[in-house]
Amino acid sequence: MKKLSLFFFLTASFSFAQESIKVNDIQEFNSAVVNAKPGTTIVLANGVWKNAELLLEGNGTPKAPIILTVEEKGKVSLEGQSYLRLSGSYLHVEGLVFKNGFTPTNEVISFRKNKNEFANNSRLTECVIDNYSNPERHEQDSWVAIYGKNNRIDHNHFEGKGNRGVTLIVRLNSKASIENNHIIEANYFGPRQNLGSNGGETLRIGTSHFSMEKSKTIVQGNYFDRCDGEHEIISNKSDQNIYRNNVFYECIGTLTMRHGDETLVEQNVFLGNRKRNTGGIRVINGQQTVKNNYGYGLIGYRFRGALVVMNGVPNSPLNRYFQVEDAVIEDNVFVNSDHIQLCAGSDAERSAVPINSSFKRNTFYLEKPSKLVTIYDDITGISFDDNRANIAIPEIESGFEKQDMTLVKNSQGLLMPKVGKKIIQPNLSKQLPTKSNTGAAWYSKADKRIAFESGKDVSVKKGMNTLFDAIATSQPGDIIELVEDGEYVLTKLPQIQHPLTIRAKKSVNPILLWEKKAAFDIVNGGELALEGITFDGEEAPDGSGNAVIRTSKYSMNKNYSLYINRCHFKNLDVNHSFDVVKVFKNTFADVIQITNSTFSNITGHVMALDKETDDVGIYNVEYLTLHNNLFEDIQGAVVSLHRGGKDESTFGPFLDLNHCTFKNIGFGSRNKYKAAIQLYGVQDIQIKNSVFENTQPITMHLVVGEPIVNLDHLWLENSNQIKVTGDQTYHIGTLLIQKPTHYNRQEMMVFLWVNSITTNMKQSTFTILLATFCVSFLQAQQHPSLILTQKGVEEIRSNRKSSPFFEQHLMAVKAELDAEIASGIDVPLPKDMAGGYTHERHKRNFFMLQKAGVLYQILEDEKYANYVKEMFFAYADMYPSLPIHPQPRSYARGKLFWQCLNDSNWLVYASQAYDCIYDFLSKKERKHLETQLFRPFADYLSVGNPQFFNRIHNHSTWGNAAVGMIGLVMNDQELIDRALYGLKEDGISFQAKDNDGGFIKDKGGAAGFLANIEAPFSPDGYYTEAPYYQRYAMYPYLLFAVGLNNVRPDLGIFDYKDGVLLKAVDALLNLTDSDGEFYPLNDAQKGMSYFSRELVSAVDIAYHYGDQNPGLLSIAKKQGKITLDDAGIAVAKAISEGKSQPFQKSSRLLSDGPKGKQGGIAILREGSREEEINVVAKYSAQGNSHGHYDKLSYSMYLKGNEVLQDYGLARFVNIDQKNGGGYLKENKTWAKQTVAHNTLVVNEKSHFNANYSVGSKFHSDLYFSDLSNSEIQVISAKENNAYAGTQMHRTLFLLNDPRFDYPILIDVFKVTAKQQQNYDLPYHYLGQVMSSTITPQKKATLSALGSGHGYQHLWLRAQGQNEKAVNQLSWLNAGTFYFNL
Amino acid sequence: MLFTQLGANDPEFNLRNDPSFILRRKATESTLFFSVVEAHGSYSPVSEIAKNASSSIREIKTLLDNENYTVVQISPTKGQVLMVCLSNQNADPKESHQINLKGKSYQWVGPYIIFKS
Repeated sequence: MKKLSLFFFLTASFSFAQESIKVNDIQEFNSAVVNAKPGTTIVLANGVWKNAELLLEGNGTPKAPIILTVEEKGKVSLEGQSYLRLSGSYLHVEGLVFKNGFTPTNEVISFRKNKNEFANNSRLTECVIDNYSNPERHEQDSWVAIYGKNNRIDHNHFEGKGNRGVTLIVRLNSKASIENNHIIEANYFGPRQNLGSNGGETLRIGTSHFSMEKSKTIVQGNYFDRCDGEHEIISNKSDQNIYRNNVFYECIGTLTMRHGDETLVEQNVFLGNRKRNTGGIRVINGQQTVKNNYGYGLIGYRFRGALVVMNGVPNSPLNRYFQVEDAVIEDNVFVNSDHIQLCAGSDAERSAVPINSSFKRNTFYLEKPSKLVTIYDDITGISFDDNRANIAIPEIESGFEKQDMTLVKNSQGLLMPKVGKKIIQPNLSKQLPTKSNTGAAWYSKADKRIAFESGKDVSVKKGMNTLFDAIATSQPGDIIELVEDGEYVLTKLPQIQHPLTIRAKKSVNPILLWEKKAAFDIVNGGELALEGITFDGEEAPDGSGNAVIRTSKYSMNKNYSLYINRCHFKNLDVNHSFDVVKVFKNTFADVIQITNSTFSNITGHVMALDKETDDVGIYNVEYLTLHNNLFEDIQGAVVSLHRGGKDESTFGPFLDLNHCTFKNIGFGSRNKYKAAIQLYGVQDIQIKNSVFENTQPITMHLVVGEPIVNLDHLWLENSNQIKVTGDQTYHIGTLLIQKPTHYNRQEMMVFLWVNSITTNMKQSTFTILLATFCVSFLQAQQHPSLILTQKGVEEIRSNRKSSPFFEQHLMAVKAELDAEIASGIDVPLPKDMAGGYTHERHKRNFFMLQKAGVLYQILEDEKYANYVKEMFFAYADMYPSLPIHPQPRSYARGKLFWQCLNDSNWLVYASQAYDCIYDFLSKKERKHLETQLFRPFADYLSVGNPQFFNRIHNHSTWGNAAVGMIGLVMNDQELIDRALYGLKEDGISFQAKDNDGGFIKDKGGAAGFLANIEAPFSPDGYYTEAPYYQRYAMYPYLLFAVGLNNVRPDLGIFDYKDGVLLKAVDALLNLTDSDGEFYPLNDAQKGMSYFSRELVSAVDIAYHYGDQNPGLLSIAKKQGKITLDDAGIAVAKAISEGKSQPFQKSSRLLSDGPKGKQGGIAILREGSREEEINVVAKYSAQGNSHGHYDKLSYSMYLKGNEVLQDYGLARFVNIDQKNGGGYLKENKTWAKQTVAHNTLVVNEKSHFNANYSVGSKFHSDLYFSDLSNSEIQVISAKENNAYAGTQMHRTLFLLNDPRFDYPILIDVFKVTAKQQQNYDLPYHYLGQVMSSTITPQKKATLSALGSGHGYQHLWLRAQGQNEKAVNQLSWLNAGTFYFNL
Repeated sequence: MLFTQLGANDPEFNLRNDPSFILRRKATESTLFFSVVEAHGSYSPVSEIAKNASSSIREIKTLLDNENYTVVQISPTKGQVLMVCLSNQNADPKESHQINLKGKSYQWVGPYIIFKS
């Protein structure tokens, strides 16, 4: 293989043709063009060509085109005001890059010289146009305009068009360009931002004016990557074009057959991945064919649906909508795509319904059943036959069959529905376009938009212009942290020119004062996130029109976003018209999001987003989100949001306002809106759960685009008007009758039910007055809701009998519990260590509590609820007077147990039991338990033991989960916040350590559940303490995550850190040998395996809340157990439906460190024989207090037997006789030491001299790896810090060669040192020595090999000198011989 | 080579008595430990038959070991000899390497290669 690629490399450099002329400037270029003959190659010399106005004119021949190319691809760029025109025939342009500028003409690359002279039979290939955008956002140009005939545009890269105008356009505006047969293929259309206006199409063929002409252009094999410019990704406006085998990756909008007939749209793939506004195909006009297309996760609605068939206009003018006739829509498959729209756009004008059309053999799958098809008019002109869906389609009388379907990945990795054994899939191309096989291979497709918080942290102290200086020297993505309380003064106005986060350090309250007309200007390219800052307008100049944050005054051709969280804005009153956010014309925000902030005493508007007043469908912000804010004493409006005109090419704006409070808003004389909130032409309005007290009205002018309008759960006091004008429908739901006591919390749920008003008005003004009578009701949290949910209970009750796996396990648990109940309840006074009676009794109690709760829910037998209740009352009697546990061994002593860790275990289980019997108890009983037991219990674990709770450690995860889970059940927000974010003040020193020697405090001061997910898990899901502790820690992680997922789905916990929690389950299952036992890395007790109860729960959760990997079912089957909850029933059901498949383990690298940059673990498994040889190599970080000094060690397994072992820990967990089940002192003196591992010891000292603080600072580094070749797998890593002046470099090869019975392990361990030292390389084999080439001298009396670092524990039994250059040793273990050379 | 057994200075029998062997080199600066582990054959205590009880490797050798490259050779008892070449300083998968050994030149691309001859 390797030799082959070398050979290939040599052959790749023949390409230059006959006559080649290198040109260095425009004069040389022009003369080369004049002299060009067929076969001439004009080569642009390397470098930047500034303002190059190129005209390539001439006639080549089919065999000898005239070529324009570059000296070296990627080293020539056309910048400034450069552009290119082509004229003639057989021209070939290759390798040009346009960037850093924009065209002064209307087209960057034009296939014509002037109105009459075109280029034909020419090719544009491997050219790049990258962010070459006119700085004037609404100044229009196109990047490539194709005229003439028979041109081919292939393998080009177009990315980042920021100004108005179609990216690539095929023009038909003369006879010479009609029936052109152009081919547009294998191009990469890179990200294009939302333009917020018409004119953002990525590709357009024709115009309405020429839409009756045939174009015959073929568009195939292109990759459209997040082309979000506008509603029409592709706008077809001519006849007889073909769109085939293109991939649309997360593009918003649709492939639109806007004008022109006889289009063929086939084999295209639309991957929306549930991004907002993603759509598929929109059918308008006659004789359109749409077949064998595939859509996934397209969630746009109305004109952006997955499949839209429009109504036309009778006798339509050219620029309106022609009626759909003779459409053929066949064999398409749409998965999890929410909206099919038929007769869309039906209104007084668009009244011509589709006719003579057929809709056949299409398949639809929706994971969550919802209304799929919307019919806006008469569909009798469409015949439906043999279509199917996994849900009923009641809207269509016949031609749709409901079939049971499952979802499977096809060979191309696309999710397809499966009916019975048959996978339903469209006939897609075998070769789908991808990011790598399209565009110019030599030009990077990496994302250019830099994310917030991707840069470095910068600390800034208070003072004058300290912040200005930090902003001036910042880099994109940096986080500027204000680390001191007090005043930050700006006497200069900073320009935000790239993404920046400015935030207060935790628990610090910085105040920002500014002396210019604004605190910040966001200029082109800038984006801003603010957090935790108080903005005080006191020092602003005494003149009107100040602001806190402004956009550029000039056009911005890059969209921006603005995030404000936990900020306070006050005293913006030095003069009139002082705004918070001030935007200017020709700017566009993707997002403005303001959360958890307060605004008070302001003379202007909070935000007037209404500067696009031309009424041509342009506006200032796409998504405006306001959550959980307080607005008070504001003279202007809080929001004015404006989108005028009748254009339908855009999506927004979207307003999402939730949990906000408005007091005294909008009564200033200069408030021209006379409103608190003014909305004009807004497309999506959600105003919910909010309080308006003494405010001007909410006014809404509803026009164009069928806006979605929902106002719900509002309290309006002296603010009694919602004014609606316009001609569109809207919905106002419930308005509150009683003033809520908590404005910003979900508890405020006593509301009044005004009759729901849905109107369809025609140009009238309507005012709704609040009624003061009506029905009220209370919405409370449902129980159970935590791990077992009401839905799960119903599912279990109705399915358990048909799932023998579940039922068997249920009955086993019932038998166990019945016996337990018969033997009575015992809640003893705590006194013992682990292994002792009181410890084991309390431990058993919490398991029983949880199980009894579940049985009560499933079997509906009150005896179980009574058992839980009685036991809880016994605990509640004891707990308030309980002293700290008498055993003094722990750094954090519990009350029921010797350490808080076990108390946390208790509460994690008890919370689940409490949730299950919550509704069984009376309110009084609940109050008793909560005040006597649960709340004090949670307080003791958190504020009572910050050294335990406020830490990045598996102990704390248990603590966080315990407090959070009981918080969720009790609906106690304070406890939930404490669990998620940690305690604000803990008073712990950074030097403090626990009784395993680990540091308590995180260096950054992070704490809480989210921080505990962040720090110890690598992006691959590897937990830095290694699998034994990962298994233990996983349980609270997953359980609390399930609880959060069920009670607070808004937090998206399973998506946190890119879904790391579920990835961790997969990593853990891969860290097991053939028998399912974990590799005993770091402190680990051998034999622990995926049969443990934590993994039973983890596997069930990963299946149910993850992607239903059928491999997990086979493990669940082997485990023979399931959890008795939503996840368990899902697994049991799937097993009984025969969905189980073997779990595939594979060779893999698992990175270590929060960002995956601290070395890692490699597992080598031999290809087809993966169950046989496993090699586990460790080059990770220290692994917290459970880490060992074992850099570059490895262990080896054959069929689940250890060949070369890792010792594991020195401890007998839960065996009372051995130190109460705790760690033995030999864990430190032997198990952690380097000599206990299969790696190098220098001078009989362990790595880092066995110093934990030093070891924690370093990690080994991966040098390279190659796991892709089944013949030879290799991992190579280096360690430079374990010993001073010594570099260690180990490479392990697992080589598969038929001459050997099993793959052989080749171990190359290179040591580089400048000083002389002694080396020991131990191999901890298991088995009996068979033979050796060394003649060992046996010792008659045994003595220890050394005196420390583990050597004191080794008896020296024999010693031999190397007699040959090669030594051999053979040993036998478990029936196999091993041979070491 | 040292043969050791765990259990010294362990009055409470807290440690398992596991065996180990240790490759020891004294007073050395830079060095290379090169070894191969081969699992082979089987033994049945019921039939008392040992199958394939001896190794399929005849010899292993270090051919080159310097700052930039390490080359080792494995000679199985039959068939082609395997030569493993490692680049020690450059792990770039596209980097090409050339070394001369015993008058022969070897070229490859990437951090490692195995030649069979």
